[in-house]
Amino acid sequence: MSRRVPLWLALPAVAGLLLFLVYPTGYLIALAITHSSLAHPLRSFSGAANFSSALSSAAFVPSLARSTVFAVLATVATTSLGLTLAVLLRARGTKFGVVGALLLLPLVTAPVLIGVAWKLLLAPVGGGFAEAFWAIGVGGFNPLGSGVGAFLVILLIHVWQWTPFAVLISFAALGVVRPELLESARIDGAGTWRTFTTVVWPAIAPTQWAVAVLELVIGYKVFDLIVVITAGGPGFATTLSPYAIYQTGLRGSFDMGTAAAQTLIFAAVVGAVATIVTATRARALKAEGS
Amino acid sequence: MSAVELVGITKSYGDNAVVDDVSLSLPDGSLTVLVGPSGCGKSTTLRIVAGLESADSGTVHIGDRDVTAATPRQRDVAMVFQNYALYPQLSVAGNIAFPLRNAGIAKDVAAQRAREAAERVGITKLLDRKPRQLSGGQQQRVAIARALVRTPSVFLFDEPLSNLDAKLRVELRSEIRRLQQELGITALYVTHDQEEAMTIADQLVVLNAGRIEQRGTPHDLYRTPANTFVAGFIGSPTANLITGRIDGGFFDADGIRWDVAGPDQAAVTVAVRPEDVLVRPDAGGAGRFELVELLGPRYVFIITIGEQRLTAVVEDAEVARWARPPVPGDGVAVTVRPDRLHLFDESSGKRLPAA
Amino acid sequence: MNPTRRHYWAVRVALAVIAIAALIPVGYLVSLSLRPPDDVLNSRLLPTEWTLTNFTKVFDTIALGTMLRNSWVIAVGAALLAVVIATPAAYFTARRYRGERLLTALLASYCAPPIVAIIPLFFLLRYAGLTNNLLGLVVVNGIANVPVAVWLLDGFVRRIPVEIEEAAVIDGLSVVGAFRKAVLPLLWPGVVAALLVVFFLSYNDFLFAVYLAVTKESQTLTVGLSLFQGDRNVQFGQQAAAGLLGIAPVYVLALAAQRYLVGGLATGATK
Repeated sequence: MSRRVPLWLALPAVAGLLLFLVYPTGYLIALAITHSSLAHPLRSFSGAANFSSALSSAAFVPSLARSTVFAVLATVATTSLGLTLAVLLRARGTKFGVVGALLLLPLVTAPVLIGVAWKLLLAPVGGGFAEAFWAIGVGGFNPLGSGVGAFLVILLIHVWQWTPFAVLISFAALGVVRPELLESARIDGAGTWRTFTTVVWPAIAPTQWAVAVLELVIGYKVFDLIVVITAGGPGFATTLSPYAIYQTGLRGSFDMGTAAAQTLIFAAVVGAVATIVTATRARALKAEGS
Repeated sequence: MSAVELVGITKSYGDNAVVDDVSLSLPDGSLTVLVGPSGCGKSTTLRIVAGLESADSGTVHIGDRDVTAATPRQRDVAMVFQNYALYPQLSVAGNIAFPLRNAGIAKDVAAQRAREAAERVGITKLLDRKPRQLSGGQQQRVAIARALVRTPSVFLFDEPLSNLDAKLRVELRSEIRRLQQELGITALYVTHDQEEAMTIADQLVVLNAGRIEQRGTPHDLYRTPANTFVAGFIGSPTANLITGRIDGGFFDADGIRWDVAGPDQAAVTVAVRPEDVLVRPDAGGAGRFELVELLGPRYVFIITIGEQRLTAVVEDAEVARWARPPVPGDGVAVTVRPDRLHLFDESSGKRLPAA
Repeated sequence: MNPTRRHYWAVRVALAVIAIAALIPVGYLVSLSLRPPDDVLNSRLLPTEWTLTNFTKVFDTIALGTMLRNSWVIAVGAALLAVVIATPAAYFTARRYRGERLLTALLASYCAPPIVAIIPLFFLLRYAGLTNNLLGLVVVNGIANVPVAVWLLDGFVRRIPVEIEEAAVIDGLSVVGAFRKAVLPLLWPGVVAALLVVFFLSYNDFLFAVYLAVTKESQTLTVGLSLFQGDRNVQFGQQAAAGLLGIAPVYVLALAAQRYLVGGLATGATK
């Protein structure tokens, strides 16, 4: 029967793919090899000019490294925190309840709004935490004022927002662990750690990897927070690639050609990193015999 | 090797007493079977002995240790689960050795003992395979090997054969019995299959709604059931239960009048096993064959007689001596040996003392 | 499993800390929205003066009513569009021989940062006259989120035993008919979950909105909130009030539909 499922059911989705993946890639390539601006795209052939200007721009190439560091850190933080929280929640029982409601809040709140809130919380003068900082002796603490500080703040907010996603998925995955395996391990004398490595981890490893890949990709997409909180600064400290591309194409010189070239380079980097992670995942899962 | 003593075990969920004041002695080296219908509390009792659940009241002793508050690890018990509970990413050898590794035993010693355990259950060829590559019967053997590799104080079996097909069940249950006797380890075995229970038990305990209905040897429960529940539960096909009265040395029920040894009794339930219902084709007989089923070496007849429907089991060899195999509608005469009638008080279901 | 008493309390304390951490930013917004302009930068988490005027004044400062309307229209439209496309596609990926390849392709496309699609889409929409237009954003958000919806619904379809469709087919229905009559009714928790997820993703979207709809008439809430930043004299209290007005109905929706969201993610993740 599976061969009789008609193809046309998938047609709209495939059309969407064409619209969202095939066409943009093609058009991007076209933009990247021509002189293009926001007002006048595809004016004349420019060869590799846009690529070289993309690679030589002060903001762009470092942004690739920054984005990668950001995405990797975000992935490690969200997946490990997510799993830990999910384990803690499971220890409480399988119902979600109030905690579930709280977990949803960061996820359904617009990053823009969160950005605004945190910007004001951390304002060195008059911000919500200002008095509290004075009270614990770090008066005038201005994390957004330093490059590293701003980077970490954005990272923290992003982790705050996306850990619940990892928690929800890990929680669900933990539910699939067969209870009789846990009981058998208890009877066989396995301690907490042994039980985790022998019974729990093998069951949830595929999901954990899936979460890691998703969080990695989401980490690369960070944009809203930067626009609202730091505008890429101080200096270029929080200029991650999506923001750099935005600046190139929709601000400044409105140079769509270079922006397109940057986008292609960025997509290649993301693709490469994602492939590495997926390959590592495949190897790790194979080694465990799943 | 220790005896196990359960005293006054009770466990309730809300108002529902799943295990209701159960006291049980498991002699050292014996195999006790807990049997009963679904929800009777047998698995819960087993799990309380294992330490996977705690009783609301009562004590559990293993040997002379009070383990009521002890964790499973501390109790030195081993358990075989209904769906095997093998660790999927460990090999068969790894699975069997797992309990030993947890006890801190060195890798090579553990591997050696695992191999020996595998030999006992006949799976040495499968040591390097993963559980998903094994059949159900093979997986259950691995589970059994894992249980006996530690030579624990008590073996616990939670419906270990329920997921296997009939033939495999018969084969494995005698293997389990053999192993248990060879090793001399006290065992508690839960099943809903009364035939399985009858064949392997040293001590048979019938549970119903959290209470013990009767305990004893299989022979005791078969020959002298303590109440109508046990009479109806043990034995296959199910015993015939007939209500009536005893009057002047006869048991009277609609359509039936049988000799019986017992004092007059106004309300009595009689149990007679199908194999004790003696049947002879007789065109003028009081009964009629309603259903005739051939089950290999024996026939099962459903006979209507008066208002009653009786099940009777007759060996094929005997039916062969009749003029012809009976068909539904033929007449039949039914008699029962008086000593094969079990008498129970109708209201309480309890066995009436012999006259 | 019975954790020891200490374990029990450690878990509770840890979760309480997390819960508080989760609430601080939003709580601060509430606190900001209740302050008059002078009190906004009072260095404290709580207001020293209280007022409710921000909630009314903000409608004069920015076109909040229009923005809210836009955000809702786009989010609902995108959710419907995405689910209409995704449901048959999910049936395809779950049931069709080698259908999961489509799912892989969709997920791969989703992994590409939206930045990739934005610029070409901008030009395409401008050509079609759909920039600064609600319909344009409905289409973009809807199609962009089809992969997520398919991923969710695929899990739900797989949970339904194939025998149900086989019985329908034996009873004379075509495969598509079996899908419509036998599978779809059982699929509705998944549909609800997908609708909700796409709704939230579209409602909170900033990237597409900021590229593709910048006129006053077509701005969404997220864009409007970010524009507060540009002003010299930023009315933080009003900005917070605007944000809360935008987010409150969404929270209520999320809480009410919590079961579906959590169940949906669980089903998608553990198939």
